[in-house]
Amino acid sequence: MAAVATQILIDGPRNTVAKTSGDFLMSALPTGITILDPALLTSMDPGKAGTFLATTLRIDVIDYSISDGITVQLFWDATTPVLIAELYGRGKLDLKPFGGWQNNAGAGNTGKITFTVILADNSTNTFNGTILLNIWTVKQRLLSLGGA
Amino acid sequence: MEEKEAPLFKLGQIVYYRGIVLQVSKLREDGWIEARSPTMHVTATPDEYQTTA
Repeated sequence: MAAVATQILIDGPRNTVAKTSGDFLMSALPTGITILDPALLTSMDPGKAGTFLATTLRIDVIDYSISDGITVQLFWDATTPVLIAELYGRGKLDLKPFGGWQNNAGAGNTGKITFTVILADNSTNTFNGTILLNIWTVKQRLLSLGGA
Repeated sequence: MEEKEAPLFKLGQIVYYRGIVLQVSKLREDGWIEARSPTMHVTATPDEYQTTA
């Protein structure tokens, strides 16, 4: 009765684009769903021996369309997940001009981007919730997280 | 003694999600099941998956 699917549209040495869409009952909202996991993306240096995976991602652009009555919370995954943003309604965020949204999670940072859906208004939509997210990210391999 | 129902899906099992072939990667505590391929990952309730094409 409920499914959220993420399709990796681009997974290059630098850029990643993921499209997430899904629908679910308002009585059973999805929580802690992974959108992007750098450990499962391709190497940042495909010509070199060994695998140089990104350790974090930065978000450059988000396109979103979310049914009314719910809010999508984006998180940097870590021991204590850090809230990136709360999205409601429809819109496009262009974060590139100031360098994107950087991962600022602390201990236990996995580099993953996850989301959770919460009720924003329990009077408008009591049937199904739907979300569509299109997220453009740039791979990073931070020295502080063991990158080389 | 009550008999436990056999789980519908197992880790590593090949499943079909709307015709797309995926492999079960996580059985979540909330009852939803995660399945993935290199270019797609799905988190869905068990009824969204089929075991045959």
